[in-house]
Amino acid sequence: MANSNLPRRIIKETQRLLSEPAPGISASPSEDNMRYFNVMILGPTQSPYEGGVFKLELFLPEEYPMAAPKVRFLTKIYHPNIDKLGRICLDILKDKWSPALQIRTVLLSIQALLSAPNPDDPLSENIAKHWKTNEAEAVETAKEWTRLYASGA
Amino acid sequence: MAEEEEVKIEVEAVQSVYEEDCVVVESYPPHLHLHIKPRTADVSSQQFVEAIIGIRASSQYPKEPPRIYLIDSKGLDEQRQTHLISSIQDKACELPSCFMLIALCEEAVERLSAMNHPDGDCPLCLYPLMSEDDQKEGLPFMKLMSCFHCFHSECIIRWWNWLQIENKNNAKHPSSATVHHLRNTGSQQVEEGMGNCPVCRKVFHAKDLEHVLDLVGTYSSQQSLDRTEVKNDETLLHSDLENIRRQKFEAILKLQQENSGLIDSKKDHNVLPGLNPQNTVPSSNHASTEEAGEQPQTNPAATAEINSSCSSTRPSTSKHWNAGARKPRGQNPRKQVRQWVRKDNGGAAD
Repeated sequence: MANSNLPRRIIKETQRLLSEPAPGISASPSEDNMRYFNVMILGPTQSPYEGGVFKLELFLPEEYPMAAPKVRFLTKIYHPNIDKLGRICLDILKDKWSPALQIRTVLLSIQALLSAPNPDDPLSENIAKHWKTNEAEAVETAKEWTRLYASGA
Repeated sequence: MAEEEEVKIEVEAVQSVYEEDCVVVESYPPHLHLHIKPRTADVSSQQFVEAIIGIRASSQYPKEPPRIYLIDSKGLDEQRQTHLISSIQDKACELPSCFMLIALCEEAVERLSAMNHPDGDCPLCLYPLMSEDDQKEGLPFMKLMSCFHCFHSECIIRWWNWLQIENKNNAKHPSSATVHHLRNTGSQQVEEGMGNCPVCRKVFHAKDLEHVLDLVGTYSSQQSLDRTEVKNDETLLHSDLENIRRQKFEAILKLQQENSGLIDSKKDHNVLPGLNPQNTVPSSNHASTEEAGEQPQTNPAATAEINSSCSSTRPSTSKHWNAGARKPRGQNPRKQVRQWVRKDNGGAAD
């Protein structure tokens, strides 16, 4: 059973995530595998994603916290730093990972990325191009996608 | 005007007492920067905190007490910073209208001395640095000299050793050389003999760690990183709150699925490396929650592969959000998926 060998740090983080959730973020471990988390992030206000509920999956690899968690969007999202497979272009998930970061800080960073798309360092070339050539229109598309795909109520 | 002269003399006195630790920004009305260290810290290894505070008075001084503020500090979290400043400020308000600069500086040193111990949890294992119960011996901890961030010795050494192994592995595979400095999971060990603090990324010298290098495994205490807990936290998983959360989650998932708002569900277990290879063509048609159960040990090499393939072809412009996962130009989507799944079963996925 994958759960029987869970490091104390993961248990501690899980407890804190559940008892003091960060605003607009919910993360709960799967019953079958405590290293796999079901995540929901509310689209930040003042962003094209406002009103949306975005589902993500997060997995803590065996080497965690030495290695970064693996995170991916499950809900479709129109964002220059997120590709159509839901993969996220975020430095702390890659070369800027530090074991002092936590699940909570990772999810907060992703939430911040929704507030501040960065088309200059894109993962989705087309969306980034759209963003740079006609930001207003790109934002409209992002809102539309949010309405179509990320509704939560 | 006689009073102004007196105030200036007081400022001179402060400066002669604290010498280079005191910077006079303005002699009238007095505005000082004071670098304070704990009195108890003659030995640098026993110093865990320090601070630079500002003391700024108005022309109404000494009738009106000066304002105290924090400029910089090491080893103090927000709570302790606030406590330090407010207690000096309180002292200033308590003292009757008199020349109080020296008294305030002394108060500051006094207060800081009382805080000269590491506080809170080890940033790596999240367990307290010092045992709350004084009777009980805690785990040995250490601080980085450059930033005063403290860690359990064993925790930081375990991380450091892991980085060294990672670096060695990277060096062994020249094909991934371009990826090398980019990826280097953990912190960027730019040069040999240097490291970056896991908390603030400030550069430190590897020799700071030397005195504890042989510690890993010596302490079989309950607080180390690798220590495992056999007991599952059943109560945690089955609390009412958690059940409600789970229901809500399922409901939203269902709704979004009906609206085709979910990303191609066949590839849903991307974040789960090490799924057994026979299973790479999933029969399940929705979220990986169900598959998560069979999840198991990942081998380090496989995961290393996953990481490096994500962040190739790119110079390190890491000040941006994203230095990592690179654009999949000209590849077919299936191939991209494999970057997230372990390399060695990629073939089966096709």
